[in-house]
Amino acid sequence: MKRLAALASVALATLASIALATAAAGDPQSDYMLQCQGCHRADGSGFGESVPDLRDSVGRFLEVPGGRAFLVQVPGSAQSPLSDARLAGVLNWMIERFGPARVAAGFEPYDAEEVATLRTPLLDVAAVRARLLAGIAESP
Amino acid sequence: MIRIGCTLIALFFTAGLASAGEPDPATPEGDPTRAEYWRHCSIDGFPAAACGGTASSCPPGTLMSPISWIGTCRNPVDGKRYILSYNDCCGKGPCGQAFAHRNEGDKPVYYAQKSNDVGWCMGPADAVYNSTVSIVIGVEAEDEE
Repeated sequence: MKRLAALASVALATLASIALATAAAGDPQSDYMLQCQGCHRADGSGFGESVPDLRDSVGRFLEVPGGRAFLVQVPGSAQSPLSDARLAGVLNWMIERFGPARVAAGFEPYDAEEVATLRTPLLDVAAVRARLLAGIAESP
Repeated sequence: MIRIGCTLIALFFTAGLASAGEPDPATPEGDPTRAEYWRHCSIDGFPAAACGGTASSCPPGTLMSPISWIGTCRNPVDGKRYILSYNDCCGKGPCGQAFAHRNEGDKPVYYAQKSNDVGWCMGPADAVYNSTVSIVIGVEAEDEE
């Protein structure tokens, strides 16, 4: 099984090398690659219980009270070296890229001013996330 | 697991540190088995290519970490900066070859996601560190901001 996983990783890496993404520095995809992808991975699948899976998930935080601020306040966002404008851009890109589609289709994009207002690191990320996930679980 | 232990092992195994120098003139882009190879500009460890793998694949008997740290390096041939994923190869003891202590873009460990002192042998690849691949995943264009 481990061998298969290793081969799959190599295959994916090779494919990624072949189909190089050309991204301008400062554009959202480039910022995702440089600031987020190492842990959240190219497909947003994350890493077990350590790194959240973004797929059909990240946008759901916009559907519960406090969730919009949470996405700006998680450590990877609030403490990133990105400017407020670029953080807004990469958050918008992630919601559009990873969905869910119903949220991505109609959400109000972040902008630099809103990010600047919300950008305060959380003292207890896990507790806030658990509360928001409970709200998401109860929402339709 | 912090890579500090690995670094000490590396110092034991190798005669000297690699300088952040120019590529090997023998090939246009240099020699991936050497620490000076352009793609290794952010490695703090052993290039997989010097350990039985390649710049993009792990040595036999090791497993590539699914998560990584990401940096950029300038290709001396075309002058462009490329985005690279530094995935660790795990499951065998430290390779000990061609120790690269090159830290372009490296941040202190309190910025864990941007620090090459952090070991990435976790999850399915939860094992001892062996070496590191330098996989090109994108091209970085000129910064517009």
